[in-house]
Amino acid sequence: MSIIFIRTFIFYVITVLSLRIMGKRQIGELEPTELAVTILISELATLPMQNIDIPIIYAVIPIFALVAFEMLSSVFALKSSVFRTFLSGRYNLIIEDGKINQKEMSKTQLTMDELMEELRKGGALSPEEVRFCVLETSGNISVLLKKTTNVKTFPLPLIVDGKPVKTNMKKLGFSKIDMINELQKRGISSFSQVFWMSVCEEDISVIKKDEN
Amino acid sequence: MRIKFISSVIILVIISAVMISGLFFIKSESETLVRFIEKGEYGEFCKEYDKSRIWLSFLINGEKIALVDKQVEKLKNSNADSDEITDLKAEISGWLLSELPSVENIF
Repeated sequence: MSIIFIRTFIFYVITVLSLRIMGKRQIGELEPTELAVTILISELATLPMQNIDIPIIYAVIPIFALVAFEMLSSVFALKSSVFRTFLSGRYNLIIEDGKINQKEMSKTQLTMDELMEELRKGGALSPEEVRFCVLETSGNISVLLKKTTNVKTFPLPLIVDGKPVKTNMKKLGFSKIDMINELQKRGISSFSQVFWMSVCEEDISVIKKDEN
Repeated sequence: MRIKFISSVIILVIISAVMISGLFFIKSESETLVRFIEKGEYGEFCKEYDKSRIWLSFLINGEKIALVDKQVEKLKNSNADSDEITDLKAEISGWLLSELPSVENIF
């Protein structure tokens, strides 16, 4: 049984890793860990059903172990942005203000035909009509048209769950002092009190963490 | 989130408890059965095996149980020769080894 438990953990890690390597577009609606668990559980449940020589406990233990791994990984993902990125990846900005980011397209293995198909689904006939086209971590593609939004630059988070996002700070030219000044204007003294802070063109939006 | 974390830890603790108690049960049961074989008390062996068979079938692969079942049936009918008894002893002694999480077993 303990062998099955250890093997379950190994296969859980292998399945999540292989789904991450395959990329977002193969995933669809689910997060990689959710998909891994779904695939593994369905397989585990069918084995003792078909083969009566396999004790039921050989399936019950790995199924509950997978559920526990999934719950733990979602808790860790909520706590750590590094772990969250490792598990789910990041969104990819495919089109910004009508311009296609070819590097991002090749990185995500998205062909022009597939992109055009998604744009048509989003109500655009050409990339010039699109303000933002984003490949989300779930594998879905979001299309925002120029006619529906006046925002020209993609909104980026500066603080997520009390932690500053350094890459975005660098991209937007924000120093820690600038951010502290902005927070102090809103009566907030430290980053840990901030749940979300983002910049969209000139607008800075801040959401304070709940007290409890 | 805290509830999710606590429940996942509880699940892992229960799984570990089931696994460890399962291993201890296999260990003590196989030792008892082997002792009966070594002493030549085959009647007691069959009685003990029948008593614990249901629990063993929860913990050990069905093929292994079926193998022992066949040998026990022969013992009950006094048809087992010494080679078969040696095989039975080896089979039962191997239960724990086959369930232990060693590198060979995992990979």
